[in-house]
Amino acid sequence: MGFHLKATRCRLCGAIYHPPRSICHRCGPRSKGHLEMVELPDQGRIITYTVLHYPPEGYPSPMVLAVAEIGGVRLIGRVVDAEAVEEGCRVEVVKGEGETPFLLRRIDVK
Amino acid sequence: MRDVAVIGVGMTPFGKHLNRSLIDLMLEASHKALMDADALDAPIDALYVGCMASGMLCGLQNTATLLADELGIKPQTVERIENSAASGASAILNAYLAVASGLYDIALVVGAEKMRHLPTSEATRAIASMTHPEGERPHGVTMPSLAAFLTRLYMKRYGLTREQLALVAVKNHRNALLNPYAHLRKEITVEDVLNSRVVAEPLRLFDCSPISDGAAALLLAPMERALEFTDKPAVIRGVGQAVDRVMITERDDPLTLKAVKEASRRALRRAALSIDDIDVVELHDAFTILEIVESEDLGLFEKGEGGIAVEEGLTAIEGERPINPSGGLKARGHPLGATGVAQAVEITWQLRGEAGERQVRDAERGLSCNISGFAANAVVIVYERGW
Ligand SMILES: [Zn+2]
Repeated sequence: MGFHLKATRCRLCGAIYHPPRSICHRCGPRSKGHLEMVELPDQGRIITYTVLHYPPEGYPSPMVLAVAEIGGVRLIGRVVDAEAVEEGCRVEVVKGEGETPFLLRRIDVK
Repeated sequence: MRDVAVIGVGMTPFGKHLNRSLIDLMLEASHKALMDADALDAPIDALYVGCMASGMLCGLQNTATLLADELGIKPQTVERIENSAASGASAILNAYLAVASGLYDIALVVGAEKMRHLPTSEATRAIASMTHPEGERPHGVTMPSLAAFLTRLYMKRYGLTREQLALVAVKNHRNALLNPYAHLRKEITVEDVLNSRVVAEPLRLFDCSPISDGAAALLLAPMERALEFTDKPAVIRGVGQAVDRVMITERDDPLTLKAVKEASRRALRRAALSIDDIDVVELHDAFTILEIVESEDLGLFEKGEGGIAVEEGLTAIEGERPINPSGGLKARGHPLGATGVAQAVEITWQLRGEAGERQVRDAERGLSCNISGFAANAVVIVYERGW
C-alpha cells in the first residue's frame, strides 16, 4: 500500500509544499495562517535520477536517488528495490525508515 | 558611494596542509596581501573573514577575532561572514560596502577553509550541511547528487555530450598546470575523466572539485587613496548578489541558475558594462556542469551552447571567452570560504598582467562568480584596471 505524504497548500494561490511550510514562498509573509494541510497522492512519476556511489554514512551504496513528481510537487527520494530506473517510470511512495521520512518504490509498467 | 580598489592580494597554495592550522593559513595569506600593498604599517580599519565552517571542521569560533589577534592588528570591525561556499565573495561584498560608504578606508578580506585533516566522510557531511535540512538531507542528498540531477536534465534537453562535459575538467587541469597555487597540477585527458570512478551517475570523480585547504586575502582601499599603495589598483566596478529557491526541485526551471543570472545583471548594471566588455571570468565550477550552466547564465553564451563553446576552445586562456585561467575550483581546489577571495586574487593578477604563463592577453576587465548552496545564492563582482 502506498503512503500519502502530508503537504501544505496555500489558500491564497493554490501552491502546494512538501516539506510542509507555514508560509507560501509565492505569496510571502502575508500568507502565514493561510496554508492548510493536504495529502499528496501515493503515486507519481520519475523526472530524473542518479545512482549515488558515495552516499553519506548510514545510507546504502550504491543507491538510487530520484526527483519524482507526486501530485504536482517535485520531491527527492531514495528508490528502493531497484537497481535502475528511467525518466517517466511510475513510483509509489512508501513509509520511510530511520531519519528518512519516505521512500519511493518502482511500480512496474504493465 | 566611493570607488573601491583592490590594492593588495595574497594566497597560500591550495591543497593539503595537514600540519598547519586554519589561522596559520589565514595569517600567511593576510601577510602576503599586506606586503603586496606595502601596507604592513597601515592602520587596518576592518577585517572580514569568509569561512563557511570553522566550527564544524576545526572546532573554532570567534575565528575573525582570533586572526586579528594573531596578526597584530586592532581593526574597528572584525567579523566572520558565512554564506556557505560563497562566504569568500560575501566577505568581499561586506568590505566593499564598508569602504564605498566612507565608513572605513582600509579593509582586509580573508577567505579560508581547512578540511583535509578530516576523513572524507566527515568533510562530505560538513559540505552537505548546505543542503535542505528536510527536503534533501534526510534522503541522503549530497552536492554531487544535485549536480548529477542537473547534468542528466541538461544532457537530455540540450544534447550536451559526456565528452563536452569532460573537456571542462581537461581545460581547467591544463590551466592549473600553469598556476603554482593550484591543488591539482596534473594534465588529464577526456579518457582519464571518463575512466575515473563514478561518484553520482553520470558524474565521475574528475567532474568534481577536490576537498582542499587554503586561504586567500585582499586589501581594499578607496580609489582616491589606492595610488599610495600600488601603481596597479584593480577597481571594483560593480557588485551584485541574488538568491533563488534553496531546493532545485522548487525552481521553475532547474536548468537556469536564476541567482547567477540576476547577480550578474546587477553587477554589470552597476558597472555600466555588458558581459561582452569582460576579458576574463572566474566562475564556480564545483562540478563540470556548473561551469557550463553558469557560463550561459552569466550571458557569455546562449542557453544550451555552453558545451559547444568548451569543445570549440572558446573558454580556453587563448579563447574569446577565457573562463577559469586559474584552474577554477576543479583544479585550483575548493577550500569553501577561500574560493571567492581566490577568484578575486586571480582576476587582480590577470588585470595587472602578473598571471605568468596563464596570462589572458590584454585583460582589462574581469568578473567573478561565487555561489552558495546549489546556486541558491550568488555573488558576482566586476573588476577593471584602475590605472
Ligand atoms: Zn500562495
